[in-house]
Amino acid sequence: MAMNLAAMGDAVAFDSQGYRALVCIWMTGGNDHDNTVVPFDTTSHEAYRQARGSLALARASLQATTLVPTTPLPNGRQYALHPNLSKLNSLFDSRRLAVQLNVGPLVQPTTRAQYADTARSRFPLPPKLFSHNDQSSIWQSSSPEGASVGWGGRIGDQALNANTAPQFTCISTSGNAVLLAGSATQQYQLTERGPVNIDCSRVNGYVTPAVRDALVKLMTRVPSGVLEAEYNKVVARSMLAETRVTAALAGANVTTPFAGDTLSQQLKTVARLIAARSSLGSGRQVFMVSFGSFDTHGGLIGRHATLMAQLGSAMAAFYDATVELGVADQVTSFTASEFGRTLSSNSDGSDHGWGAHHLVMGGAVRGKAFYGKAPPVSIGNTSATEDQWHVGQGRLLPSTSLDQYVATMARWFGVSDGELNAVLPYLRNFGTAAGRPDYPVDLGFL
Amino acid sequence: MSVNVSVAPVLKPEADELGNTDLHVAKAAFATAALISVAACSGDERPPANFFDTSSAESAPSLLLKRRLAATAPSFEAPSAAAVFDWAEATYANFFPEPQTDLREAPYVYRHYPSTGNYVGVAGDDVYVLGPLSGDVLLHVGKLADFAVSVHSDVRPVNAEDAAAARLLLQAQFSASDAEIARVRQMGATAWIAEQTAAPRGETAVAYLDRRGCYSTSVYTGFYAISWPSQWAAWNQMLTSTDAVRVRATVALTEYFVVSTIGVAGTWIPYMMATYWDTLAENAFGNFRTLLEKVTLNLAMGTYLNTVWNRKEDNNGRRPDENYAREVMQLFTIGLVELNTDGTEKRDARGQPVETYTNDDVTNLARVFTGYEPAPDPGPRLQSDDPRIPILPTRVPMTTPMILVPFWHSTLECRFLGTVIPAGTDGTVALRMALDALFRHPNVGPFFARQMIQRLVVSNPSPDYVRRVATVFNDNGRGVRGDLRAVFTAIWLDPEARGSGTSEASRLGKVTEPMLRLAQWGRTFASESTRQRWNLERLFIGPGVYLNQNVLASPSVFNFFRPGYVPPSTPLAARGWVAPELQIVDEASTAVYLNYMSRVVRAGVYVQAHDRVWSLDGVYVGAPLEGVPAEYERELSLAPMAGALVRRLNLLLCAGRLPEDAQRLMIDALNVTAVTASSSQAQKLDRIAAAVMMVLACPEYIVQH
Repeated sequence: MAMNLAAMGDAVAFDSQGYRALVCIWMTGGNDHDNTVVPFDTTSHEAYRQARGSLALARASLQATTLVPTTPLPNGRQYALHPNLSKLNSLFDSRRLAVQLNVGPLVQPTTRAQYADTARSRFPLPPKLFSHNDQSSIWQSSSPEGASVGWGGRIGDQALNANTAPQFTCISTSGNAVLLAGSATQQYQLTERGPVNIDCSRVNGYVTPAVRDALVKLMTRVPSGVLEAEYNKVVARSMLAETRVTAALAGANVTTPFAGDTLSQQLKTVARLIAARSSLGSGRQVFMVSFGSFDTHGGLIGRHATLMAQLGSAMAAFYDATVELGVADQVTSFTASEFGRTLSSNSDGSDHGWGAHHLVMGGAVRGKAFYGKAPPVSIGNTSATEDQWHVGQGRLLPSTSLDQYVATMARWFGVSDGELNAVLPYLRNFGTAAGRPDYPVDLGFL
Repeated sequence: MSVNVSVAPVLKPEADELGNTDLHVAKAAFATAALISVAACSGDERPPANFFDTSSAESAPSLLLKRRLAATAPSFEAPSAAAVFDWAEATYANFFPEPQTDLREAPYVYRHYPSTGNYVGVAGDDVYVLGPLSGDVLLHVGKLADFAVSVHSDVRPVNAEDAAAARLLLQAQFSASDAEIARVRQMGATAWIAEQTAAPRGETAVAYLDRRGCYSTSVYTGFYAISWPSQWAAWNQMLTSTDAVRVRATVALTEYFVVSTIGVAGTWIPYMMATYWDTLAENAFGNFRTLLEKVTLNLAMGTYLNTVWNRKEDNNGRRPDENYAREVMQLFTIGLVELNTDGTEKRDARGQPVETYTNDDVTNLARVFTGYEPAPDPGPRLQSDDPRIPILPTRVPMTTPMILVPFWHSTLECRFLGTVIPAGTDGTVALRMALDALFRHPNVGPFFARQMIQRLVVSNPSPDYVRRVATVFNDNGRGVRGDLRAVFTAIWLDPEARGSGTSEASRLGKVTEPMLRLAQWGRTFASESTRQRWNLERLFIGPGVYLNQNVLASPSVFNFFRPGYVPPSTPLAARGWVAPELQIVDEASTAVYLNYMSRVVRAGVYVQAHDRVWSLDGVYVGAPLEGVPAEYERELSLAPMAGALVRRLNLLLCAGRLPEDAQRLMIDALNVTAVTASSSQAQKLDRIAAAVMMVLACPEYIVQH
């Protein structure tokens, strides 16, 4: 599918196909990937257990969530999902879910020796590694804090023509996210329960029709100050969009049950927006939902288990909802987070890392499979092979770049090969054209 | 009569231009009157004799009066003499400068303006003027009723000195009152800041919790198990404290040294958070180095960033927790990249920013913060009134700095940022060395200064502004580094804070944080007596849900918004300007703010009394609703005069920044519903609430300059 789309060329890429949506499930705080996709073969699990101590999940507890891919991983490597992700196992088995191993921001393919080399101009690294806010920004935009355009927005820019209501191209249920900001694309925010109606004139008797009209004029006029004008633009957008979205959502319900936690409710709202896609004039959309905190320096075992249970049930419900709506093949969801964490323990938690494992879900996904390379389970600082894919304490050195991960989804979404490099600034350093077929532009999971 | 055009502007009324021809006639009259005036009033105590000869008065109906006949204007009642005088003072300050009090001598009630020699008087319902403005001829300028539309509806500029004083008050505290404006004008900004930063502390947060009965083991309040009295204690100070300048600085510090109740659980959390707040407040005008150490050893920070129970490395791969080591550098002291004194980033030979530390620095520094535990509980332990509740610890560990347990402290050598702490160094000495090294780093001054300026004054301070404040941080003039009283004083008294910025970016102002808007409303409009009764149980939820922000409840250590946030898809992004507070401004949050405040401005803040509604076993216990009503004590008398009402709100809430067209919109909308002095209290409150709400929705209110 992706190949066909690309071959069709830029002009028709977005308007000749049916609806498509990408849904980013953001895990705020840096997900502990080692307890999400857990080493399971006896050798790896033993190394994991030794490195993590009290943070390690017992092998027996992982039996039920073992992942059995169509093609086994090399060297007998096996993984299991966190026990609380058990609802995702059936999706994996039915080829609706894939695991992307050890992915993270890279400027170019990088080895541990190059990471340690001080000749930064030869071996450039993403700036401000291990910093929450900056790596969040880099995951979403390729640049640290202060970035104003993200890759979701950039592909939204290219999809605008596919939407008769471009203001609903990029939608967040959890506040401002640079991921969804494009050059032309402006993100739209609503709450996990939908848009908020400004009801002050309905609820408060003192807001007479004249006062209400004055309020609307005050809030929608163009003031002279730059900040004032931006504030009013948001309010004006809020009022305009709310009327339309509320009306569209009124007839767009899903019967698939969702749990009450925030992630479930956000994904339910996304499902309803997808159900309302015709009345909202949406042909291509990028959504972002988020939850957490995943910053488990302490209390990891308990806190992470709760979050995993929410992730598992919310993702499974969302997939079911896309089936109910008949768009399972047209909606692809993926997890993201600012970084992975250390494999080593600080006694009851783990610290900031870099690369991490992530999940991709949807009817178009080539599931029941692992993509990328399984990193050795090690925290040593030796020149041995097993220590070449972390940069200390098991902080993974990514063997797949964020740009490859995104490019694979962007191609499926309809972005042409020619435009990929404009969406992803470092993609040109990867793939066959860059002489690195071991870092393919398309990872193949879609 | 002919008018000398070159003279007329000198005497042009300050009032707004309404484009009606009466105004031009009035101007001509003024000009002529001034030219033929031969003697200013001598300052006699009594008015000239001709003032009382009303029968000889000449008629000059257009002299002061401008009729503005809005199609929708309701019928107004005739204003009082005092209302006309007040209006005249505000509208024609050049003739009637400096507000005067009413004087009485038959047949008049009148006011005298010594500096211009003018009189304005009312006899019966006739209005007269005399003085240089009338050529010392007694003029009859109309009946009281003729002034009704003007008095009730005119947009009136606020006094520039009042506005300047209000602006300082809104930057340095939460609100501006009449008395405070007068005091700032009287003392001047420098003396006022000096006084306020030396003022004695008000009630501490811990004392507040005690006063509110929060150190209770009752199962019905459950205070030992909940966190939200932490917010009550903070809001209580934001809304009622007598040392508002210190509290304002404290709020800014809570957004720099962030600790949040979100994600923190345990027993007596409010006492832990209140102790943290008190630590910030106590040292807000102290020294940064002292504050840094107290923050580091505070149990709330230790809990939030994992210093408490942090263990040294072992032979099985366990490593010290890096959380505090990383954030104390990234967020509390030096930041990620090397800075010049003016806060701009240094660049290397390739034009790239220079990162301040590596992950090795973090891993090493983490050793310094190992071995800390809560202070021991001296007991005796406490028994709840419900035997099913386990025996509770005392609050002492929560109000006491963490202690060092040497056994768990890493004694490995620690190398970071060029500092070497030798292996085996005593933990207390190691902490001192580490914090000294961070404190001495040249980044701290500009890093801290810029963020405090952003919190208090402007989002994009000029590099010169940052440099001036950072220079004071580096040396207060007496050789002391880190003098925070001097730093905050420099922030508030800087030419860029008192005047205006020197560049477009530095003149943008900043968006006022939602929680500060609510605090401003409470301090401005609830009466003194009511404010002492603030009951904040519901309020603590309100801001989080409805304002998208609540004090001491940031979603993470990265605060509600980032100092470097650039709003995407805006002209700001194109220029690289930041607007931190816009990070929490979106289609949803703007709507819930309006909805929430629209209720608050009329109905007040209604809250559940402080006892818990449900007992732990799920039985409804009940609690009466208590309210902080929207009283508007001082605004009620202005309710019949929409113009005067809006003018007051413009001064107190916006430091005079509301544009004229916005004020005109508000006044016209208010006047659609007639309100007179004899209207009911409810009708007056309706009008006041409508006026306040329109101001709170106005972007010129939202953005502070």
